[in-house]
This record gives sequence, C-alpha cells and structure tokens, in this order.
Amino acid sequence: MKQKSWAGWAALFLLAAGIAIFPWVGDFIGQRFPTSYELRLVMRAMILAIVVIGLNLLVGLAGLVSLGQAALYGLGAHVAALLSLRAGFSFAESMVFAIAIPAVMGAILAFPTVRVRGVYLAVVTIAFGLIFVNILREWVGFTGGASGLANLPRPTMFGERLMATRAQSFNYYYLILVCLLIAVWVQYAIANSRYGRAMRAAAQSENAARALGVNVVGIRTLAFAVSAGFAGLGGGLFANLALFVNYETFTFTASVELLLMVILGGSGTMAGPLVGTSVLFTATQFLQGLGQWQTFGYGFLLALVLFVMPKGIVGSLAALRARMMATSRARETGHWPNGEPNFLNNQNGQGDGTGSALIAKGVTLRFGGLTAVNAVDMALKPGTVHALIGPNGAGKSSLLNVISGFYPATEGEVTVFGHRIKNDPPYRLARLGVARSFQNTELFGQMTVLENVLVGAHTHFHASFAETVLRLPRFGREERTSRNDALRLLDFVGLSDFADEEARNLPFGHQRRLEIARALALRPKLLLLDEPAAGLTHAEIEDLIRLIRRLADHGMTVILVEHHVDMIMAVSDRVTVLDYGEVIAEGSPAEIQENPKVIEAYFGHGAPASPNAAQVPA
Amino acid sequence: MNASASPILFVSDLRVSYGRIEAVRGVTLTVNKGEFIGVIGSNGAGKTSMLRAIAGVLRPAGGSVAFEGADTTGAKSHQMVARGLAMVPEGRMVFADQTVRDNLVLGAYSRVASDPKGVEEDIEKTLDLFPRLKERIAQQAGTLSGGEQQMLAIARGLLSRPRLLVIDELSLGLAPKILDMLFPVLTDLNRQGLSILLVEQMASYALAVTHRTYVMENGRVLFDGASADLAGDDRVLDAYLGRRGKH
Repeated sequence: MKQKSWAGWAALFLLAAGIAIFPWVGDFIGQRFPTSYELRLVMRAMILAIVVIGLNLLVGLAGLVSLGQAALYGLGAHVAALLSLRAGFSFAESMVFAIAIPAVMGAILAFPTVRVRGVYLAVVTIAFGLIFVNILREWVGFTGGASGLANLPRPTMFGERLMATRAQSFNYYYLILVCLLIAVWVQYAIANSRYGRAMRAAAQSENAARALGVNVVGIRTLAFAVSAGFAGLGGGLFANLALFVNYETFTFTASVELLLMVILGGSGTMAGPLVGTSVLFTATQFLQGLGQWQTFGYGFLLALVLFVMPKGIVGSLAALRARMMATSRARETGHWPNGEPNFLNNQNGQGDGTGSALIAKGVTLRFGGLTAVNAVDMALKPGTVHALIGPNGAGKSSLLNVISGFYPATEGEVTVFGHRIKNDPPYRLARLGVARSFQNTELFGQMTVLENVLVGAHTHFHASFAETVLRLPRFGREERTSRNDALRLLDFVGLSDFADEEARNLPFGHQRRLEIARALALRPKLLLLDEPAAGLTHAEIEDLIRLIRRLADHGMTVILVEHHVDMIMAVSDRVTVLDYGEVIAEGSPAEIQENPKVIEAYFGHGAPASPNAAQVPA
Repeated sequence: MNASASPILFVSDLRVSYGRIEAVRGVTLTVNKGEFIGVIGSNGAGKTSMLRAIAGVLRPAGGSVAFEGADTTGAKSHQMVARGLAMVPEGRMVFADQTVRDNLVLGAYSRVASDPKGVEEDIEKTLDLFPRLKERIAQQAGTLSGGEQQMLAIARGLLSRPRLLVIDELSLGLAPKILDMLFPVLTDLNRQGLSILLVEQMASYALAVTHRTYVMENGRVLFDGASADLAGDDRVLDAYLGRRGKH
C-alpha cells in the first residue's frame, strides 16, 4: 500500500514537471514550439481536467451520476464574464464568485437526492442542464444570446497582465497548472478522509451508512457543492482564457463528454480524471482531421477502450495489478475474540439515572393493513444481553428497525438511555450510541475491511472539512487514533489478516464479524445484532458467544435476534419471544425453554434433526 | 453405500481463486447416483467457492469437474442447468418483485417454451411438496418469510428437473421449526432418486440427514466418511459440533 501511493505521487510529479517544462521545449530544440495555439490547447485540457476531477468526486466517490455538469461549468464561466464585463470586478474577485455561486447551485442540486437516485437523479441533472442552456440562449439582454459575451478584459493579477503577449500567457498557463494541482490535492485529501469514506459508504450501502451515524443528505450535499465548485473554477478560468463565452460550450453534449472522461479514465480512481481527460481531449484533436468520420471514430474508440477495460483505464490496470499479486493464503482464522475491548470504554451505558438502557411501551408498527409489531413492551437493564426470538416473520427485525430509527413506530414509544425516540433518523440514534448489524449483511463491499471499520468511527472525527483538506494537525491525530482503534477492533474479532482485503471478497461468516467490528467502532452503548450467527459453524458460534459476553461485561447492552437455540441459552440474560408481532413470552432462558407456548410456536418437535441428538457418544 | 454405484459428479483437484485469494486448493469429491452428500467446514474453508465452480457460476483456476461422465470444467451455469444440475444459492436469491408462480416458471426457463404442459404439471407436483407455497402462489416473493423463501428457492431449483441438486447453506437464518419441515422434504426427494450435494454450516443437521460428509478446511478436504461415523468422530466433535457436557 505504501509503495503504491509513493509511485502515484512520483507519477504526478513527473506529469506536473512535464507540463511545467512544455512551454520552454522550443528553446531546447531551437524551434518555435509550442505555438500559442498549442499552448492554448494544453491550457484547455488542464481546465477540463479540473472540471473532470470535480465530477469524479461526485460520480466516483459519492456514486451520484450527473449529466448536467457542463451547466455548472458554464455558470462559472458566465459569472466570471458578467462580473468583469458589467461590474468591473478584478480577475481574482470574479474568480471567487465563479467558484462560490456554482458551489451554492450544486448544493441546491443535491436536494433531489433526498428523493431520487441513480437514473432518476441523472434525469434531474439533465433537466437542470437543459433549462440552464435555454436561459442563456433566450435571455439575450443579459447573456447576449447566441452572440454571447465578447471582449472580456484580459485578466491581471498583482498588476501583472496574464494573457497579452506570449510571455505573459505563460503566467496564465502556470496559474492554471497550480489550480490543477490544487484540484488533484483536494481530491486526494477528500478521498482519504472520513468525508470521502462516508461518500463511498453512502453510495455502496445507504442503510449501513445511516446506521453508522453518517448524515447521508449532508454528505451528498457536500459532494455536490465541492464538485460544482471545481466546475465553476474551470468555467472562470475558461472565460478568462477564451475572453468570449456563449451557451454552445456548455450544452448537454458537453456534459456527456465530461462524464465520458470520468468513466474512460476510471471512475473513483485518483489518476482517472487526468488520464481520461488527456486521452479523450487528444483523441478529439486528432479526429478533427477525419471530417465526417470524426464522430464515428470517437464513438468507436470509446466503445473499444471500455470493452477491453470495463473499469476505465486506471481502474482496469489497478484490477489487473491486484490479480497478478494474488497470493495463496489461508482464509480461515483462529479463535476470537482476542483480548478485552477496553479501548471501547470511553463511555459506558450505566448510571444515567433511569436504570434502563431501553424501554419500549406499546410499540406498534403497521405497513398498510399488515401489523408487523403489535403493542410490544420491553425493558432492558444496562449491561445485559437480551435475546429476541420467534418464528420467521414474527416481527423481530421490524422491531429492531424501530429501535434503530429506520421505521418510526406507528404507535407507542421507545426510550433509549432516557432519550425518547420520536422520528429521529438512524444517524442521530447512532450518535446517541445505538449501533446495529444487518440480517443480510450490509457491508461497503468495494471498500477494504479496514475502511469499513473506519466508517464506523465516523462520528468520532471532529476535524472540519477545512482542517481535513489542509491536513492540519487535528486531522492527522484523529486519523492515526482511529486507524489504531480500527486495527485493534479487527484484532479483537480476529480479522487483522484481512485489513486490506475488499470486504466483498470475505467469506460470508467473516462478513458478519466485520459488521460487528464496524458497529463497535461507533463505541455504542446499545448494540443490536440481527442474526449474527447465521452462517457460522458451531466453533465460530462459541467464539461469538464469548465476544458478546465480553461486551456485556464491559457494560454494553446487547439485543440479539437469533435462531440458534444453544447460543441464546448460553449468552442471554433475558429472552423475549415474538409471534405474529406480539410478545408471547418473556423470561430467563431456562423459563423460556420450558414454556409450552414457545415450544409450540417456535421449537417444533425437533425430532429428526435436533442438534446434538444423535452425536454425543455414550 | 453401494460400491458399484457410478458417480453423477466427480470433482478432481479443483482450484478456485478470485481477487487476491485462493479459496479452493485442490479438492477431490465424488457424488454417486442417488447419494445425499454433505460438506461441512468453517467459514473460509472454500465450500461456497467450490459449489460455485461446480455449478458454473465461477470458472475454476484448475482441476476438473465431470457431470454424468462428461467433462464440464468451465461450463457456464445455464449449460449446467440444461445438463441437469440445479443450484439453490446461499441467501436464497428469489426474484423478490415477481410472484411465487413466476419464480417457479423461471426455474423451468430452459423448457417452458417447448413443454408448457409439462411445466404446469411439475409446478403442481412441486407445490404438493411445499403446501405453504401453494397458499402464497400469487404473492410477491419478497413478501415471503425467510423459511418460505428457502422453500421457493428449492422448488424453483427442482423445476429444471435436475438429477443433481446443489444447496448452499440451507439453514441460513431459519427457525428450528422450519428446518424440521425442510430436511424431511430433502430426504424424501433423495429417496425418490434425486442426488443432493448440501453445503451446511450447521454440521449437526448435515450429519443427521446425509449419507456421506466431506469436511473441508483451508480450501482442502480434510477427511470424509459415512455421516453416521463422523457424527461420533472426535475430530468432528471438537471442531464442528462442540463437545457438549465433556468440559
């Protein structure tokens, strides 16, 4: 891992050095090269790369596909042009607004993600782009319509003209290069922080992200705003380079091209935007010689590259490298848990006055005409393990969903550590100390095992966005502490060897354990486990029993939904039995086992395949 | 077991790797016609990966798979279904937004066009095995309980008229009462001549219903034998059943 990032930085340094030397190549080879036209081409490519980096944050990290990015790019260009033409703003002043106004617009565009995603969101962004271009074209008095805004004043900075002569245009060239490097840095800084992890988490499993305290709407708004800010920066730089803007540069086709650059380079990769922009921009220049075959050639090239490299150029090369480094090693683990979970103990569940970790009173949950949970009463003492059992479809998972805030109760009330839940979203309950696992495992499959646990620690980071991007000391401190804690948690559940593996490649049973480790990273007071033993062998279940006991001994309250009877008897302090959404019995494990109602509803006769019947030798 | 029995499935030195992991490292396994075979082992032992390679969901990295005497190494899953091997996948994977009936018809996908009457009859026969599904025939599969979904997954597998049924993790997330209902159905199907290969974490269940069992560890077969013998074997008791009452 270390070596890989080192190689990445080296490649970036070489690229930046190459771009920096480019204007001077003619002096070495004694020719007039590059011409000012060629210099402009490189500047335009760099500007596009800035916009594409912004789009990559949105598409590649946050998983939100925008087909209206060119409109934000155009908004930046028009803000810069209008402010310097009509309001006499200086270059620097107009650039500030060229970034800020699209960023605000982007944040507003994020609002539809509350309701729509995937192709539906893409349609919303297309609509935005169409409206924007239409306004530019028809509001002739303001935007010049088809004739656009021409004769922008040449940009100056610190009294220095940036564009008039060839030597001065070098100034602008380097200014764009600096902006590009800043964009690359910001992209890296976001991707390798809790913000980037939360964006990817929300894209890969929204439910799990919410359960771990990620404000999904907030993080998507941030992704949209930053992405739009880069589009605006690119737009402002473009306006001051071309000294002319009209709507034709920012149509739907341009949005598609920007998205193609992201995907061709490798969506979500750090180098992808640079590679994708370079390849497509260069291809466009070469294909101009082909006349009417230009579009055909362009389409053919795209189809060919994506057929050979379906994850984009950088993404596919990285996957190939991972395959070549495939090593043979054990996928099974030794016994766990390892050590004591002392490091979780910065808050414990006891002594908050109420004497109860959780109180449910008359909780009822209806979906239409179906009553999934019916007038359930429960009371949990802190530091105890409370099992919830019952036939499939009895309402156990529905009750967990009410307690963790995924479904608001139709009637009744739930109080967690003295806080009454009333329409609190899951992320707020997570911040109150409620963590959960999911019946069908909801891991962030394309993130590493370690990153999954780090998302669990999301609520324990306090470094602001600015501190994160600037890599100020608090960011580094928190990142190091969280990494250490995450590694200790992985050791605790016996998954240290898999830290750098993608979560989706883990065997099913390990995925369950990873979900527990991730939930523990939240340092919860109340832990909800939905069938944690499903898919585990007997030996692994015994490990799980020890783990749950150890957590309870450290003051954590656990609610356990489970079917493995031996496990329930071994680990629980109290058992509640549900059938058809109602509590049919409540008591100690021993009492429950003897209860005829429970035997009838749940255990069956147990004759043909009762565990431990035939096997114990005489 | 009958020593003269001929194998319906013969897996030799099978290897599977994906990502950076080698999951199966040289597994040899035989299912004879009419046998009910179990595979047990810890998570990560390679059981699911092996099943996927047998059923054509994954391409093996090495070794061979022979189904009814023909080499099927690297065959695609739809080809395996056409040859008579059906898989009930881990986590059931029913088509949640389609009705129970449509799920069943999809199970007979390869022959529903040519033999609609036969498929209808098979659906009726299969529903007799699982009366609960009959009551829910018009319901969307996603609204079924976990146990009913598992019944549907098995029923759907049966509709391709397989000669070998491969089941991954039957007991996953199911209440004891449901399991007591499902295992006898499998035993009945087996008695009627269907060969079954069952991967199961709950070793106690697998050993109680199967003829022979393979114990996997670290991508290899550790040992195998008659299930009745293994149920009393010290190595199995320690690792997979938990030696109750001894310490």
